[in-house]
Amino acid sequence: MRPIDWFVLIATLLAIVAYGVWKGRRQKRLAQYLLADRQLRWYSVAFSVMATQASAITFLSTPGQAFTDGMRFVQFYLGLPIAMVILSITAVPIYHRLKVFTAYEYLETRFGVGTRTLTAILFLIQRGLGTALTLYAPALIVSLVLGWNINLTTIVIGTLVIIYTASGGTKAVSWTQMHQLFIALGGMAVALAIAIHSLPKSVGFVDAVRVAGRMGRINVIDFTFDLSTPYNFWSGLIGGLMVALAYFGTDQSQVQRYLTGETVTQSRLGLLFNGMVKLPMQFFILFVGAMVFVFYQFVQPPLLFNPTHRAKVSTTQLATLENEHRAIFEAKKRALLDGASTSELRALQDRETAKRKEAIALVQKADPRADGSDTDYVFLTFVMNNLPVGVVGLVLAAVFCAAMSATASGLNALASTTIVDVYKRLIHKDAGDHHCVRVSKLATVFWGLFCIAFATVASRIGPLIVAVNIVGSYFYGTILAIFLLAFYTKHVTGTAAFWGAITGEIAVILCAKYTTMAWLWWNVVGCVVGVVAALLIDLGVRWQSHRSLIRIEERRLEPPHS
Amino acid sequence: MSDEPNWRRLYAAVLITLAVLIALFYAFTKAFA
Repeated sequence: MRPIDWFVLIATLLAIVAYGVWKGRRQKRLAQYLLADRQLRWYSVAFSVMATQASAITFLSTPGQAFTDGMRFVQFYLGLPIAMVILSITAVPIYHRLKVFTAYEYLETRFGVGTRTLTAILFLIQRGLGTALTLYAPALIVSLVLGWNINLTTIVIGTLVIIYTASGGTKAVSWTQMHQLFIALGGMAVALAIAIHSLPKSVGFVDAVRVAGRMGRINVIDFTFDLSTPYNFWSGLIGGLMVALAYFGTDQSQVQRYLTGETVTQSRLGLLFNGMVKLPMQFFILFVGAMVFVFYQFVQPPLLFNPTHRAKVSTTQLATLENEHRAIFEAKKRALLDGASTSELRALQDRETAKRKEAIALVQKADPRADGSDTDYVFLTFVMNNLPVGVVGLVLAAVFCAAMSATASGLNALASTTIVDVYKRLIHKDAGDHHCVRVSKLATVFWGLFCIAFATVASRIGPLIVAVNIVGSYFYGTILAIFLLAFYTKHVTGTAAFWGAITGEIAVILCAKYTTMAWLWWNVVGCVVGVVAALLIDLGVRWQSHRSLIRIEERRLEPPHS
Repeated sequence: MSDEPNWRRLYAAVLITLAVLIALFYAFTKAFA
């Protein structure tokens, strides 16, 4: 990296931290610190909601997904707009009316403290792990770019986030997120423009899209119903709807964003705006990946995108594979420029992919702990090797901004839940506002340190975007079941909801362990089993008490024994 | 309130946008895949 790149990167990050600290100064009351005093307008809510979901993983891993697997990942978001409408109608007015700080606080009014605590703890586990992964992604970049120690990088980024999140609370998080999102999307737009501009003169924009399509990267919509494939229209619409309902309706990192809305109207408008622009935004990020794929049809790509993989294999072994890989690339490039048939091109593409797999197998043979996928490194490699001076710094700043915004939301929500649902509810019920703000800051620091620690062991989980969603999918269905019972049933008791949730969670774990079911469907299983089990338990309990009443009545009517 | 949006129309707009995007994505897939 050149000095100008360093300057752009460091200046952007420091400006964001300084802006966050400045915006979030003088936070005295808990409502100020955790909910920005419920004063934000719809556009702040909207951008905060979007920036929370769009982490560095979105900007790093998603283009890599499109490079290796095509654009079908966009279908994961098909259920999101429907979820935004449902939540605007149901959850938003309820949360606003009750003036809750956390989503789980609402559960106590409906099911009692046990269910509230269980859900809060499930959230703390799942979001704690998820936030750690959002920290790990940018650490990965810098370790790749500069050969830094990945743990040291995690600590630096984590510390920057902790500084403004702990000092400024939700207000700092929400205001910085708007700028961070614009920087992140701007960086991606520049990368896309350069990828297209760097193609051979004879290859125009439409030709580039056609090449991506012929190579199977424009597989945006697939109507095939298949439970074992993660991304098709049905899993996206049904499973994606469940994930979005659970994520936006019950995950405190998102609920907290729209609880900051000045009124129900402002919060609803924020969510609906997200519902309209999220799909095009994801399409755009995947399209960047597809264009990077096309770029590498004309510029020799590395055999191994992960630079640490190269060091694990002997140079002679690698040289043979690299020569074969280069020959296939040249043949493919010639075929493309000569207008060869799609089947011919795909056959060459399959041979190239096979060579890459062969190389990764070699790496794994040398080091069984090595990551079997280098999807996450594709976009970074493109940025570092092909973008001009200054733009590299901008794109890296974009990725860091995204990482910081998502991590900040996560820490902010983890601290809120720890204080409101655990500390203030179970440990120190009479704690005053000043005291709670102080403890919230400490909780933010604690969760920041937890995430840094966990991030250091995250490197072997697999492609990052998938890892985050997989962690979420273990819990989202169950948590959603509890909230659906709370929102839409009147008679189900807290005990039934509690045991229903436990049953749903066991069902998810069994599915994950013993079936080949794709992870998006786990959300459906957790939710449906949780709801049905709770309804059956409730029915059983009510039938039992009904029988007891009849017995008492029968005994009362029996003639006395002489 | 007079400045309260017409929610039904807004919800419909979100869902219609979704339907249009699905149609566009499908057309894009068919055109280039």
